[in-house]
Amino acid sequence: MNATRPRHVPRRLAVGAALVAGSLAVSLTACSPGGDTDGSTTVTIWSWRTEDQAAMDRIFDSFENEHPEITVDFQTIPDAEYQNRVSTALQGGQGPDIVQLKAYGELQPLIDAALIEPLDELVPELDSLPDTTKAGLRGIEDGNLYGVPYSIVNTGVFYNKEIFTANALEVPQTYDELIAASQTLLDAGVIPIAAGGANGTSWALEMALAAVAPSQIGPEFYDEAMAGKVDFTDPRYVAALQRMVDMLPYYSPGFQGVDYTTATQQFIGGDAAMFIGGSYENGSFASQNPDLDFGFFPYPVDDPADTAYTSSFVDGSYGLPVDAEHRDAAIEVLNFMATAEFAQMFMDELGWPPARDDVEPKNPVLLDMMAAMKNQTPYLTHVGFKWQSPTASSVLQPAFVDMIMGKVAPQSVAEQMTEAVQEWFTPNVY
Amino acid sequence: MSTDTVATESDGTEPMPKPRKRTVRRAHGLAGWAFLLPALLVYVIFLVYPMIRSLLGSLWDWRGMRAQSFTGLDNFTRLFSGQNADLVTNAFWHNVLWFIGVLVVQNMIGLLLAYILFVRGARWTFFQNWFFFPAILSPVLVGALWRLILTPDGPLDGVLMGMGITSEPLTLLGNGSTALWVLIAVDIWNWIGLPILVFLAGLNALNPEIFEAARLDGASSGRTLFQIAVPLVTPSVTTLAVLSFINSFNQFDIVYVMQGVQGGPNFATDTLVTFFYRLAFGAQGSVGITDVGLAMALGAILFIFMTAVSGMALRFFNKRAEMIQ
Repeated sequence: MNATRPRHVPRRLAVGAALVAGSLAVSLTACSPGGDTDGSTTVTIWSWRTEDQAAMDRIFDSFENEHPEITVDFQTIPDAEYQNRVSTALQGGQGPDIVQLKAYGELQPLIDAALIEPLDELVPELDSLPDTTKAGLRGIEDGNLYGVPYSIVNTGVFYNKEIFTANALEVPQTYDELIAASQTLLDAGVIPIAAGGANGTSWALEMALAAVAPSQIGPEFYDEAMAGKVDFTDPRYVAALQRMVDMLPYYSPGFQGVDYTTATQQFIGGDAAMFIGGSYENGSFASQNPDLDFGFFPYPVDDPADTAYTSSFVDGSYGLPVDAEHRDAAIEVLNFMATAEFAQMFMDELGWPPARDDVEPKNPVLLDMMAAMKNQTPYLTHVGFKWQSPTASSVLQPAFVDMIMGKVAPQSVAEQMTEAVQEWFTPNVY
Repeated sequence: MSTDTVATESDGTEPMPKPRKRTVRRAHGLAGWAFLLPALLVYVIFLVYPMIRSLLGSLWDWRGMRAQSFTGLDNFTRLFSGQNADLVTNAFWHNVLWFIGVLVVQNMIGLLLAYILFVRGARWTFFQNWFFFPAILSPVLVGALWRLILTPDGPLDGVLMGMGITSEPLTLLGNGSTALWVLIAVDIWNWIGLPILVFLAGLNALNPEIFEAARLDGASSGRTLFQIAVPLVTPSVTTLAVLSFINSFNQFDIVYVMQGVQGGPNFATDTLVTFFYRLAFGAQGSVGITDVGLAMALGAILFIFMTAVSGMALRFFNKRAEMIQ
């Protein structure tokens, strides 16, 4: 406000206006309170895993017991808003001390904008990770590692053991056996395969495709595609899409209107015998129905002589914002998150395959998953074709339900996917 | 804006012997500004400045959520070429259909119901509140509610299949040819109270003698509605048309809650704002990478388009209103 009051302005008015403007200025520059309680440093972590809140709190409780000088405040933001909130907060310097990061292409915008720090020097443990894991943490331009991974997700078929036993079914070893089993279940009045991608949840169908695809494209397709030797219109990939269509008679009734949540509830509630998806479902299935007796197998191959492969990917990682308020404490926490101790706790608490293999899985479903992991190939559309816009998924997901319903041909979806990524894809770069 | 008022010498009836001196003090102007300042500051800081920034931002190349280099109209060219062009056109027509649906259906039903309530008078106040009830709910709640009702094997299917009307789940939201109409219907259900309220206010403001005269002349109720009530509530129609336009072209929440940010199935319910959201913030289910430059370009176009159309509509209707009066 101007200090000198124009003569005609009544004093009260000037004072009032000054007060209003002053309070406005204060409210605009108000900053978020730093959270220091009982003399320890509070490290805030942001994550989109709202469902993991309790488990993560327990893991960090044990960390706090060993490091009384640090308190970890694990905060969650719903997935739908997460990226938006994080990018806004980090640009405004109002971010957390540690931030959960997406992987591969979705990690790059934060690196490009120089909002997160490389961790190669700060977390030495990262160096020992396998290359397939590093690929999900790397900046594509500088090759530095930007996050501490927490899980390598793989994909396959969850099956209800009770329903299988009740219908005298074995784990199918070939596609024909899977279809025969599905038919038996359908005749018995059980939903054979809970599936749905309506109401904007078709990412779940893309995840199911990740489980199904290796049976058609094999483990070598990824490298060929990244080298530019093949594209999505390759008959093997179109056959993978066709597989998703072929199983329609065995999906949830009213498939085109069923969404992901409904499908999972059908499996959790014991109304469906199978669910095709990612290994992160293990923890959520078990927590929502502790009595559910289920197992996991990789999606079966056509020829019994072949090996069944599983698609795998780094789910995400935890990184360090450039202007983290409690940087040193945050680095300490990140180093803890890179240990085998954290990996073991994470796995025991959540039932996800951890990012390290020097752990001892106790959970039977996890044992199935880790066994399937022995034959893994990168999740093609996610690891390989999400580096720039338009992504392969941005074409595949919207068309998925219509493709399964027979309104769009798999061949034409494959052509559109190829056309979309051609705008930016360069062989042997990614 | 000048707040200086000119003192009129006379009002034209009888000349005053001595016009009373009214010196308009500048201080009043300053005081006015002082009162305006806080609101004006808020307006400029939170509205004008970001608007100008995003309009300018559409001329830059963005990488990693930061403006990297000046590219002129390149974002606009990219927005109207290849697959983006299809998506923009597709979304635009959905907005147009939405607007027509709301304008025609919602306002027609609203006018009819308002007229019935008007004729019935105070005894039917209960219905007035009943019709307005959905409007007090957040569109997010409304969307979630209808999504539950419409889910396969949900309440609606339960009723229809129980009565033997259908044998299979309906899946209206999963079907590209019905999904958009369902969403528009839900939006109409959500906001039907608004036109009722506006029309009712318009009808109640009219001189009751007009209707009395019509009744004595033996005009049928239909004729009274269309030849007397409708022309006289034209100003309300103007307001509602502009409001419908703005709401339809800013449509986001119902689509977002019921069909996700991709406007599924297969973009059948995609709108300009859901498309904008995907470009600016990416999409749920890790579908894509953001493209802030494109988002800014689309935002700029949307802003200019909405302002121009609303402005023209208001001018046009104001002229008409003057003619009627």
